[in-house]
Amino acid sequence: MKARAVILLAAAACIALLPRMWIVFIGVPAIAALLLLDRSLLRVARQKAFIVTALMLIVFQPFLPGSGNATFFDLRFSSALLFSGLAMTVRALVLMMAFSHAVKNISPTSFLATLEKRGLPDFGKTLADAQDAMPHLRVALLEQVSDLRTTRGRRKALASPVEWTARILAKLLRQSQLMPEPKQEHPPEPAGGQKP
Amino acid sequence: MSEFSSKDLQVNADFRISVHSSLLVCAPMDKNTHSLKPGVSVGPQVSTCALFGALWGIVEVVLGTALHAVHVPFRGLILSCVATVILVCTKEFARYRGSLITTGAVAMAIKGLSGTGLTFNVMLAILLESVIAEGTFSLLGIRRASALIAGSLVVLYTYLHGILAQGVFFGFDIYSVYARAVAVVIGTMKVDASFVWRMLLLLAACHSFLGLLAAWFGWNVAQRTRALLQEELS
Repeated sequence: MKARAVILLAAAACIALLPRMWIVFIGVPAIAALLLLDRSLLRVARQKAFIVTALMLIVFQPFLPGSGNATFFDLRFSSALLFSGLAMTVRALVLMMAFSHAVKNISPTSFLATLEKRGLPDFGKTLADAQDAMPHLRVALLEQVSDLRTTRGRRKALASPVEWTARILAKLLRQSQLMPEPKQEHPPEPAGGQKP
Repeated sequence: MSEFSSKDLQVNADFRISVHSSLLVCAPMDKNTHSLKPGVSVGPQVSTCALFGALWGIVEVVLGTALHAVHVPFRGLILSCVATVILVCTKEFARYRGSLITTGAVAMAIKGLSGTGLTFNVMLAILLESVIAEGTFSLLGIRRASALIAGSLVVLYTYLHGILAQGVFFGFDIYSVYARAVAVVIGTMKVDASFVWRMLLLLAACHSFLGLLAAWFGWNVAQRTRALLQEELS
């Protein structure tokens, strides 16, 4: 893992553990710093789920009846709940941006090295096998999709889904195990075409 | 040239037999712990993990993106049911301890490296699903009942994942916000508070039941696949 990504994650975790008051005052500059590092992190704030939750925390929550201590256009709201909602939103934004930045900046090699170190031996080889299998899987799955487009194929799948899936799986297992080793390039023949 | 071709075919034929045997017989298992006996190689089973991990990764990338694009509700439920089928089948063909975590890590890596937007939440869910399934199989052994329990827990976890993830990112105060919001809604709609809790529990039970069905399907598929491969070998 890149050292910068680890430091960022650790810093974000520290900010998340701060009291509410501090989260807002330290979190906002942290968000600005993260955005300076990578503008595309702004995408995090554009996610629908995040926007809905943030609106609920900042707009809906302070106006819940029975907790108001201030007024805004004749509407009573709670300033403590508004501040708490703001702190929670900033906290989520800092953590999500830091995670997003880390995921984006981790190179596959260092990611594999970390996983292998953390108790998944030969994981690099397994992932390489998986990557080798992917084109075959893609072809096999596309075949099944085109088969499903025919009435006969659909009828077969619906009549016995277990049998249908088992046949696909057996085929995939067979194909993946039969995949030949990548061909080794022959060494160049010596001059004059004579074999050693 | 012809000599080279025939040798090549022979090599492939040997490879086919050895690999098919490994799929069917697997490696010597310890009857008590349902894991590999100490010192036994898991080589061919690791490639089975790679295959199932790749399959899971492709499903997450292709189906997950498609479902997300057309805004299908309960897409997490659909994906975790597929994941349950894959996990149960993997355990049938790769019976060594930790095989499901390897499969999950492969799927997680494929999802992470696919570059399909913000994926850390999904990656975490994939890894935790595989850890839950592995834990269940390790505790209860590789049998139909444990597959059903594992499936039910995996899909139930998907139901809870959103709530847990919100707790991690927004802080655990968010639960009190939800509780207050639910109380307001209950007060406005004049419904019984226990009714809301019953509905939430019913939804959790539905998730669990669907996980059970997915695991049952996966177990049957794995057994049938094994039988098909055995038929081909004999």
